[in-house]
Amino acid sequence: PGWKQVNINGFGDRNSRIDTSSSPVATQVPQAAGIAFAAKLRGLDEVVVVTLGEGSTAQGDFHEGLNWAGIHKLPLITLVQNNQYAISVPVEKQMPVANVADRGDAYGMPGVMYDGNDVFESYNVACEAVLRARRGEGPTLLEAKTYRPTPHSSDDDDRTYRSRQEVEMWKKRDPLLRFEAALRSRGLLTDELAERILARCVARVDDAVEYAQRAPYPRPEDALQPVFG
Amino acid sequence: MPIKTNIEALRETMAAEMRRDPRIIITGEDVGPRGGVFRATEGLYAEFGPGRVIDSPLAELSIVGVGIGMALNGLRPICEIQFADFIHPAFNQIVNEAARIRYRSNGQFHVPLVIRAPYGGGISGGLYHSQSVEAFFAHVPGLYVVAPSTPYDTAGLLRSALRSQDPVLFLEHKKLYRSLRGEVPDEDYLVPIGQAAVARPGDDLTIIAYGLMFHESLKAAEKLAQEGVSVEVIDLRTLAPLDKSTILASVKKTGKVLIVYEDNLTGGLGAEVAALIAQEAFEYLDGPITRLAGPDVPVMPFSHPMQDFFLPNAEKIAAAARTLAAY
Repeated sequence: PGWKQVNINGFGDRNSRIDTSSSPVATQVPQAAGIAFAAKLRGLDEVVVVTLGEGSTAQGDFHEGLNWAGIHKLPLITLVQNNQYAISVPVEKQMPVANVADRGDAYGMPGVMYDGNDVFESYNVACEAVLRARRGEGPTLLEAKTYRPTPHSSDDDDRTYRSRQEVEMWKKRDPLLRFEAALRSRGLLTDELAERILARCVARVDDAVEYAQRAPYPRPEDALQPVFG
Repeated sequence: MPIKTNIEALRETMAAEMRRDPRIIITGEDVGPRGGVFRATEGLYAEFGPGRVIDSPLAELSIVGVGIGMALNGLRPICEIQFADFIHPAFNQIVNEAARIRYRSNGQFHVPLVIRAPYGGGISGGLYHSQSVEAFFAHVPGLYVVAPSTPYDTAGLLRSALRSQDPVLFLEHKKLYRSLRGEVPDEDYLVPIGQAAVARPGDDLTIIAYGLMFHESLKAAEKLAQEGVSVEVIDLRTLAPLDKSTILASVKKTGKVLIVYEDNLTGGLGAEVAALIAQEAFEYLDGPITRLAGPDVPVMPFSHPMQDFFLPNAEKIAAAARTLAAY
């Protein structure tokens, strides 16, 4: 079957419980509230996570979705990755408050700001949000302060809107490097283990590339389906 | 057989379907204890409770957006948009999301969602309580658009919509809610999505319409019958996808067609019907494909004489049909 959702759209997968996504930003937020609402109405033990960037929080969809989640105390975690740029527009031109998390009050939910480049802290705040949702206490707004170390896309030239010094500073805060250093300092990671992990990752990517290159193109006429069920 | 108004057929069918299928929930503005501004959901909150009849915030984008999420997670929501005039904030959720989710996910996900919206004019609703929105949405594959005009079809099409695996925009002409009555069988019958009805057979000319204009066209056909002109009247019932075979069969029989709709003329649903006939029944035509519709002004005015000027009615339809019949 032709993979219609590929290109810059999301990679939804029902078996992995990952919803399909689109390119207009923040449309997923009210939908996630609806998924969480259905879980609550059906009495299912489910927690829904929806992600977006800080740029997308300017959309009305973000406000409306969180409004529903707050009113009905839905098991919804809204994770905003604040990488400080909406393509080229810096965060201070996107919103009048310093933090997305500050908006939690407006929706009757905790807004939690944290270092999104710290793997341990990310894990801890996510666990607390999941536990809160499972206790029936409702939604949480998480704001991961982070950075986009590369241009927005292969067509973007970020030298037109941010300094090299800023980019270099943030590259040193790369969460992978920090996590690796933390594991090494605790004696949990050795050179040998690091090499094995890297080799395994490279092999998985190579396999995936090979699989994709060998795969046949879809039949052109499959573009006509599926419209209705 | 029981005789009901459209609003009764609507309300009783929703209630019966909710008894049949516990996945069906209703959300929208004032749908709860108030029972909706048109009373479409009256009594449903009392019967089904706050877990199935859910008052929404005053925000159409999320009435549909939340409904999509509910549909993705095992429910069958009915989302009520209080007036079709207010559906526009939800356009992105309907068009870019609900209608495209099946296709873009290659069939992994689908959205069984019914969006109900009262539309149309003639009730002195003014600029923002009279609009016809069908043409925007009939353009979008992946979305069914239906517009029943009789109590029988309202019940039958609503049942089909609530059993569909894909989103349905269910347009209800608000002037027809209580202005007419019709037979509605008690049994669990379906009117399939995608089938027009030849409501009045005739030989000389075909009138194609839907909603309020269908009833005005019937009155016009009656007038013309007294003048010796036999008019066939088709009620489209489903606006997307169009029932091409019923349309083409009628036009091939009569050779003349008048398409009537109250939306603005340009780019309205009748334009697509006209294009279809021009392309696929050209050799059968004995006169120009004719459209009678609202003028191309931004919205229907409030002033009574202006509203009446805007709307086609039986007299105007009869006049247009007379001219065409004499062609």
